Amino acid sequence: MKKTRTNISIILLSAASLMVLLILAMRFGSVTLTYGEIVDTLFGGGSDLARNIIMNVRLPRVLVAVMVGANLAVSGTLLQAVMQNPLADSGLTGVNAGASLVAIFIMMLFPGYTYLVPLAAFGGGIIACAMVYTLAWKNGIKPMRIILAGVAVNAILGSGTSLLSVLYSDRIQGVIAWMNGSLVGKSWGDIRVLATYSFFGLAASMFCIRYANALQLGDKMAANVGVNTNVYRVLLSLVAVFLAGISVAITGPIGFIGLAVPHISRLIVGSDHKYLLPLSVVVGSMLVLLGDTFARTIASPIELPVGLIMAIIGAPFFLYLLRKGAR
Amino acid sequence: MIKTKNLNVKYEKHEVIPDFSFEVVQGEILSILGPNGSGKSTILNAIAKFIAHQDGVIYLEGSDMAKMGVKAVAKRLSVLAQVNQSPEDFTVRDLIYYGRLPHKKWYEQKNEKDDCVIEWAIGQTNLSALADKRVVTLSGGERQRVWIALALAQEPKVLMLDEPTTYLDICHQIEVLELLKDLNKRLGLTIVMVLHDLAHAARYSDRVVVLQNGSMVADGRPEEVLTKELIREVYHVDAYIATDECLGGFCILPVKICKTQKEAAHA
Ligand SMILES: Nc1ncnc2c1ncn2[C@@H]1O[C@H](COP(=O)(O)OP(=O)(O)O)[C@@H](O)[C@H]1O
Ligand SMILES: [Mg+2]
Repeated sequence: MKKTRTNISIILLSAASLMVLLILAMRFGSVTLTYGEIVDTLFGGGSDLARNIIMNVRLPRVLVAVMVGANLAVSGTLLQAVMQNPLADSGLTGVNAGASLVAIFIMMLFPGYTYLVPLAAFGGGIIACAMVYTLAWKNGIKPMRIILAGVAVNAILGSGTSLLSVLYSDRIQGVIAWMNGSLVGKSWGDIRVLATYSFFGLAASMFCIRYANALQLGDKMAANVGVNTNVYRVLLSLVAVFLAGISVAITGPIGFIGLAVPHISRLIVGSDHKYLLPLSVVVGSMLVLLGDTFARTIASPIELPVGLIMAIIGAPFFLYLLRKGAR
Repeated sequence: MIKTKNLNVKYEKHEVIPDFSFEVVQGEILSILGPNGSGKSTILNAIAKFIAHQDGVIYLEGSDMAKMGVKAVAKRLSVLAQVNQSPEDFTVRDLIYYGRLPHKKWYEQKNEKDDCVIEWAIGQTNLSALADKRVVTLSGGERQRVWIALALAQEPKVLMLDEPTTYLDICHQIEVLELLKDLNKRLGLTIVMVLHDLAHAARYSDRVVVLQNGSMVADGRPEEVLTKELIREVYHVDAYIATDECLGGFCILPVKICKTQKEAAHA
């Protein structure tokens, strides 16, 4: 019972830190604003300049960071439960590779239709994932088969992407940012779409808690307590891939979050998904927000891709946590 | 309680159980014996629906299990695999809660009834002192009791266990077997288990079924079934059998490996 209370406090505290971080992140950029200006503007006041910067540039950006972070983290947490493998994340299911291939195809061959990229990338990701699961299905679905099918499908789709970038190497410039995950220039329209889908995806993930926990006990024990492992493996994967798909569609693939956040959160609150999933939401948001703030300020005026920053600052931090092995 | 009729199980094309029919009677302790690879786990797994069977029917309390949902089965039958894993940070009490899942609708949270049953299961398995310890820190014997407690939390009519005493020292082997016998007596729980130690099987079972190459070669009371001849035929071992009171009644002592008459004739 003490554990329950501690875990809930941790989750609430980190959610509060996320709020603070949000304000902090909006401060930095080509023009540094004061906290007063930021708060004023958010409540409808503020100078025209501050309004313009916050409402058109920084607020959309931090909101995208928070939602994408949450989605990728939850997706990774669910998939690690589904695969019973600590190395699983959404990349494994083919969703990134599928989305990338379709997005790059459009951006390079039909640049006039770039506005279709999010929708098409989402579709591409879902189709790739459907391929992986279809190939993996054999009298039911076993994690090892998903992983192997995922590796194969990723290789095929990845070579398609490479082929396109070689054939149209003159047009690669505009595509590189997308391929490394970028939060630049997201509109309120993007945010509305992302927010709607994220809401449903994250809400659905909260119904996965019990089944993700049961899968941790092994297939036989899960089946013994009446959990149909095939059905729930597919259902949990659907939720995970939906969340990852919508994120990739808007920002391009951002690595590391889906892999690392579940581990970081597990070190803090343990492996019960009742606490693990909510904390993953917060930690994922924080990490992408932090990463993106670094990405756009550290080498300013050049903006680095957030995916790159995630790897540079995230990986050593992750290793440190693993070595320390809190709890 | 449980009845199989012409059960047939294949892995790919490899037929492991050609045609297996048996019945588990309510309130008994039934041990399934047989050498490694004779299909004991396969039969348990097929009954538990962990693996599909190709042919035949399995009945649970008179209903065809193929037509029952996994949850309906899990409320009446608990099957413990030979090896089970617990997340590192789960306490005994955390883990036993999962035995309650078959009784819960997808939106239902843990309630007072669950807490009651969990405490009851902890009491039945003498785990009160360990209830807040992490499962991974317990000894093998204690862990086996935790899995049995999880099974009890399902409130099943039948409990099946695959080699519950393998990996345990002799003291903990007896402890687990005594616990099962006790649960069988007090709660009327029907128990089916796979054992390797014939002496244990003889002492703790009402009935034994002996398998060889996926087929049943004997079925009956241990004293009747476990003869020198059968042990030689099935296990290729010469055994010393005594009904000595100082040895605790019926007693089987493996002595040496032997060849069956058939093999001896070939040689
Ligand atoms: N998953 C599997 N795939 C293929 N063959 C298997 C599998 N599991 C068991 N077998 C085979 O089935 C036979 C019976 O195995 P099993 O039921 O585990 O025997 P026991 O539990 O009596 O030792 C063995 O020949 C074994 O090789
Ligand atoms: Mg076995």
